[in-house]
Formats: sequence, C-alpha cells, structure tokens
Amino acid sequence: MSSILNCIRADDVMATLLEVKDLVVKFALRGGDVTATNGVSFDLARGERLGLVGESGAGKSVTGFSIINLISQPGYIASGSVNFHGENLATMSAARLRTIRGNRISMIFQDPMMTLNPVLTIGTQMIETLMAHNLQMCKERARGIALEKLRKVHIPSPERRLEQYPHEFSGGMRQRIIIAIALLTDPELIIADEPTTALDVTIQAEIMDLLIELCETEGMGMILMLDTCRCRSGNWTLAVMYLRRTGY
Amino acid sequence: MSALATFRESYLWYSFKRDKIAIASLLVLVLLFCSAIFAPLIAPYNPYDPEMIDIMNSEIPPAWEDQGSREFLLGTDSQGRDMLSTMIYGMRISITIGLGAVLLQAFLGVLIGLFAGYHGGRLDAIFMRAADVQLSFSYLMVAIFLSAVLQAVVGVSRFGEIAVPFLILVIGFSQWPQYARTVRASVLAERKKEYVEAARVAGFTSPRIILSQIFPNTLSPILVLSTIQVANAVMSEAALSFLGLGMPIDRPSLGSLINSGFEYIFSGAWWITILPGVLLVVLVLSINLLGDFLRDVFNPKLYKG
Amino acid sequence: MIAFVIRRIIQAFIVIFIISVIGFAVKQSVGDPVREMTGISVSAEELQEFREKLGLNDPWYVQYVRFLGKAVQGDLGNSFFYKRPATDVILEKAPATLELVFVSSLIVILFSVPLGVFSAIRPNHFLSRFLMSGSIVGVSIPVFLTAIMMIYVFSVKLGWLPSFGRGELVMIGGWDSGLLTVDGWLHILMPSVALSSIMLPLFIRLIRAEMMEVLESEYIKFAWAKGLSNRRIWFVHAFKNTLLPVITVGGVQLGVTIAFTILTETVFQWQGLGFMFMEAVERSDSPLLVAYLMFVGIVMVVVNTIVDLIYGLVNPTIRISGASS
Repeated sequence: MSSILNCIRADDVMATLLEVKDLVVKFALRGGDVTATNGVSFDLARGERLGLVGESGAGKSVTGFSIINLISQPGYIASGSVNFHGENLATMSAARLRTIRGNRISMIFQDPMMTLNPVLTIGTQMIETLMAHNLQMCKERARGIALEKLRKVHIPSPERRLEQYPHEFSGGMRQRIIIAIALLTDPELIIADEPTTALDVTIQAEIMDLLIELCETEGMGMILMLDTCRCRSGNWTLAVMYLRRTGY
Repeated sequence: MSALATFRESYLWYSFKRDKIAIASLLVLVLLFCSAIFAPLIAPYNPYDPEMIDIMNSEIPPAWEDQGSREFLLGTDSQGRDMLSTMIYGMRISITIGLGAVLLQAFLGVLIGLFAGYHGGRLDAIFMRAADVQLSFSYLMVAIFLSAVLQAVVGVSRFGEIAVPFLILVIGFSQWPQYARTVRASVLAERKKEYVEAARVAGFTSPRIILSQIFPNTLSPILVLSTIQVANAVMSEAALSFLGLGMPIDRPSLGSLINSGFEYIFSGAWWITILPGVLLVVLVLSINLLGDFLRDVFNPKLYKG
Repeated sequence: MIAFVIRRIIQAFIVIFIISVIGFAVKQSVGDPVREMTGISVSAEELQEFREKLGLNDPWYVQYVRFLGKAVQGDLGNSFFYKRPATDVILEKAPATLELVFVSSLIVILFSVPLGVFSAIRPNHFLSRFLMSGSIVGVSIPVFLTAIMMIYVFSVKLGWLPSFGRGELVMIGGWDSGLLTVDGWLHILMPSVALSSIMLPLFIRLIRAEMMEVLESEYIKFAWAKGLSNRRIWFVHAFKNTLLPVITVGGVQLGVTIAFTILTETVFQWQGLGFMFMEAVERSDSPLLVAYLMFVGIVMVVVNTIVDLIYGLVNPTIRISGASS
C-alpha cells in the first residue's frame, strides 16, 4: 500500500516540511518499558495533507503528540527523529520548541469538551496564544485577529462570544473555536487527532469539511488522524498505522 | 485457591513488599498494639495500684539523665508513677477509645451512607445536609462541644467512671459524616451499574441488593478511610483529654498524661509531658503512614476535607 | 448567580436556626438559673414563684421563642461568672482569637501556596519529597504538643519568646490589638505558628494533589501545545483551576481552625474565646457556653456562605447558570 494518491504540485515542489524517521516512543511503566510506536516513518511536503489511519490503540495519537514532543509522562521518544525544516524537534531545547508549538505547528485535540480551560474566557485563551508568539502583539490587534479567525470558522456574533466561557458552547462550537485557535498564528502544519470522533454524527461532516476547506484556502499542511477512511474530498496522502508502525 | 494464596498474589501484597515505610510502620504498629494488649504483662509497674506508687519517687528523670534511676527507665511523673508503665497503660486506653470510636462511626456512617445513597430522595437530602453542617463545624469542635455539655450535665465526679464509653460515643458520633459521605459516593457510582439493575430485575429486595451487591464494592474506600479515622480518633481523644474533657488523671490516656505533665516543663521536668507526646506521635504517625500506603494502593475517591 | 446567592443565604438561615435550637437545648439542660440567682437559702414556694415569674414553667416552645427573640437582639443572658451580658464578654474576647486566626491563616496561605505549587510542578525534586514526608509527620503531631515543645525550646531553654499571654496591647475603637506593638508580635508568634502547624501540611498536600490532577488534564496539554510559557500555564491555567477545590476545603477548615484555637489558647493562656470557653466549661457558666456556641456557629455559617459565594465568582459555570456542582 505504498501509493501516494495525489500530491500538491505547487511552485515549491516537494520541499519537505516534516520528515518523521523511525520514531520509537516508549512508556516507562513499573514493570518495564512499553512500546507505543515502533518505527514510524513518513514525509510531508509543504501544503501536503496526510491521513494517518489506524484502529484505536495503533499509536496515532502518540505519533501526533510526539511530533511536537509533547508526550505525557512517563512516555518518551526512545529513538528516531522528527525533522521540521531540517531541525530535529525530538532533541530541540524547550525554549526553541515553544516558538514552534502553537505557532508553526498547531494541534487540534480529540475531545473539544476537555480541551478548553473551563475558567478562562474564549477571548483570553485566543489572545494569550498570539501574545505568546509575538512579543510586539498588543491586546487590541490580537483581539482583531481572534475575531477574524472566529468568523472564518463560522462562529456567529464573535464579539460577544469572545467574552464567554467554554461551558456556554456546544461540542461542535467548541471544536470550531479550537480550530480557530489552531489557525491564529497561520501555522504551516496542523495536526488534528481524530477531531470529530467525540462529536455527534451530524456535526462530524461539517467540522471535517470546514477543516479541509480551511487547509485548502490557507495552504497549510495537515496530518489528520482517523479511525476510518471516510474523506470525501481533497487531495490526500494516506498512511496506515498498524501494530505501532506505519506503512503506505 | 485458598484465601492466603489469593492474598499473596494480590497487588496489595506486591506493593507492600516493596514499600519499606509501609513495612516499618506496620511493624511499629504491631509492636505498639501488642504492648497495649499485654500491658499488665509488659509494664514494669501497675500505675493503677496505689501501693506501687511512692510520692518520694516523683519527678525522677529518665535513666540516661544525670539523676536518672535504673529502676525507672523513662523516669517518673509528679506523683511518682513509673512513666513507662503509665504510658503503656495510657496508650492502651487511647487505642481502645480510638478503635471503639471508629467502629461506632463506621457502623453509623456506613449504614446511613448505604441507605441514603441507595434510596436518595428526602432522607438522603436531610442526612447529607446534616453531614455538611457537622463537617463545617469540624469533628473536633463537635466532640469538644458534646463532651463539654454532657460533662456539665453528668457532673465531673461521675464522669470519671463512664469516661471510656462516653468518649467512644462522643468521638464516634462526631465523625460519622466522613464515612457517610464516602460510602454514599461509592453507592451512587455503583447504583447506576448494570449488575445492580440486573439484581433488581431478578427480584432481589433492596436491603439485600445493598448488602450483598453494593456493600462489597465500598469496602476498599472504607478500609482506607478507617485507617485515617483511627488516627483522627486517637488525636481527638488526646485533644479532649488534654483539655480536661476526657480521661481523668487517675486513669490517664496519652492526652491526659501530656496535660498533667505540661506545667512541669517550666521547672525542667520535660519528660513527663514530652515522652507521652512522642509515643502519641509515633502511634498516630505509623497509622497515618500505613493509611497513606493503602490510599496509594487502592486509590479510592475519598471525600475531601 | 442571584438564584445561587439566595439559595446559599436560605441554607445559612436554616443552619443558624438549627444552631439556635441546639443552643437552647444546652441552656435548658445545663445549670439552673434560679439556683444561680438566688442561692440556696430560699424556700420551695419562693423558688416556684421565681420560676413562674421568669417564665421557666412555660412550655418549652414558648421559652424557645422567647430565647430566640432575645438572641436576635443580642441578649443571651448574663454570664454567671462575669455577672455581665454574655454577648459583651464574647465581644471583648473575640479580638484576641480573631487576631490569632488571622495571623495563622496568613502563615498558612503564604507558605502553602508556593510550597504546594512547587511540589506539584517538580514532584521529583528533593524538596518536594521532603515536603511530602514532612507534611505527614506534621499532621501527626497534635497542636498542643507542638505548642508545648515550642514553649520548652523557645521559652524555657532559650528564653527567647514569652510563653503566655498577649503582651502589650493597643486599644483602637473597642478592639484590643496586639498586632501594633513589637511585644504583641513576640507573643503571637508561637501561638500562631502552633495553630498553623496542623493546617499548613494539610494545605500543602491538598494544593499539590489538586494541582497535579489539573496538570494531567487535556486543557493543560492543549495549553502546552499552544506554546505558552511555563509560568502562564502553571500560574494562570493550572492554578486557577486548583483554587476551586482548595477554596471549598478552606471554608471547611475554618471550623477545624476554630476548634484548634481552643487547644492553642489553653496552652498559651491566650485570653481569647477558646480560653474563655474552657473556663466557662469548668465553671458550668451555661449562658457563656451558649453564647460561644452561637457566636462560633454564626461566624462559621457566615464564612462558609462567603466562601461559597467566592467559589461562585471564581467558577464561571456557577456564575451563569446558578447551578452548584
């Protein structure tokens, strides 16, 4: 199954954005190490979209988190590399890594009900992201950008919504907000970890379409983890994860 | 498989073997409990026997101090009683009251928690409100109030005779909400599960479902809570006795020993108050450490506070 | 929010009502007011007449309503010992206890927050391990023993600190304050440290446990994924969520603190409410006992209600919907 279905042939043809090589992630447990991924490899070109398909427990989420080096304790990257523009994220300093996370690589989590901080307003959670990555950013400009992105994900009356707390939104709305947060800094790559599994079936298609549409208009690369092959539109590279490895 | 074999393969035993602190505190606890149980055999003197007490022997420091005497290893108190014997007997009383109070509160709390949690409704609401109010006053406050008022009603002289059952009652009653809360929380979690539904469909009566199906599932939080509560009950008893609301001085518990020795620290006789204090801390600490270990192993959802 | 506030206030009134019933019951069962007033050289008829005049032969509910009516006006009877209104005695002794509770709460907050947060974000640091084992030793030492050992070391052996009393006081507007003189601070140091010795380890453990739980959550992971700074994640994202349960438990702990003031004040002969309470117990001074019970009850209810309202302010879920969780 090593067929590249269709690649974007833009001017910067095949300039490699991300290169994951022989990634091995382990979890240090009481009884010894447990391997979560065992030799994951794939490449991603600028603006390319990769679907990472596999059953639950195959190691998709772990792969996604290990790209931005954010595996929860006691997990760790045992070997392999994640090269982003030729720089290895797996060995990068925490400070340098922070300039990439949420800025050049954004992530969308599985369960929108759990992803937003319940005691902070949507506005705070959006503005802080912009301010963290641009020291010259003032609050007013950040607010403007946040509003623009909320409109992009079709949130009605975003000015009012900015002042509200997560619990005032439905699951679908929250996932739109999370997508808007991911878009804030115009990242080069979005990693979406099963972004629709926690949602109602009727909303799933909506969110998926929105995500693909945005990727196309903004020209972002995307890695989408899914448990089933169900994408209806767009150009996709597919990788299948099975038994903690990738195959094409 | 026999019960012993099952136990030896359990996670509890596995963790216990690897936890030096847990092993040490259990050993200390067993030692203390044994000396409390066999106090008449172990203690060199009988502190209740007036013939063995000589006022001339009062305030002798422990054997390792300058004026210490071999006869009294840990010295004597202001009345000439041997400290070691008085402490062992005192601990015996402290432990008796602590265990008795925990049995009582466990009985009350588990019963209320089980039925309130299972039936819900108004009964549940009333009991939980009462538990809230009592908790917000803190068990120590309730215990102090109860014994102060009851002592005033009964009269101090008659109080001495009934002190032990009285303290068990007071401490037991002041601490039932913790049990009720914890048990109720696990009942609420269990009640929704399908096996309970199945038992109900099968026609079991509710007391039977509660006792045979739900109760066993609340055992591990109860076990963890009980360890902590024994420590709390011993501490409460010590606090009450220290305030003069607990055991009288002729049948002292660790708390009343600390109380009676307090004034002598100003004249330098520190051992009369500090030594029973150290024993109390060792007792409570080893129970708490064991409780901490059990909490880590079972990891139950306990009521906070 | 308004519905939430109203419900809390109604609850507070119910609790105060229950406390008043208990207070009344205590008043009825402890001591005989007639005996206290007349002495023993009075004939049975005169005694009976006196009882009738005082309304002591009325049914209990009539007496209760009378008791409640007076209590609302701040009249809880005269203290047998002080021969003055019990409320006056309470108000005179309250500043000492409130200052003690205030200083020890300050100690608890100042130390528990940074130490708890630190041991949550650096769980393997040797200081965190030390704090965890130290705190379990801390909760196992009774307050009065801490107090006695401190007196032995700092007063008897070293002679650095005074072992009893409040020291030099300054009167401002009916409030005897010991916090305005150096001598007053020297006197309050040991009692407040002793009083906080039981709360401090409890709060360090609580803050650590709650904070660690929050740090495991998805939204904190998302905050990391957003590339926020450590400080922002720890002190804004995680700490704010840690505060919620800590506030609730803090309210409950006030009751414990007041209970421990009785022990602390007894050891240090601190002329506050706790010391007065123990004296009243020894003297069977029932009006003073009842007044103390009512005072503590009302303080507790007021503080718990305020704590609940603060909780409502911090927790946006309650602020809007009015539903408590």
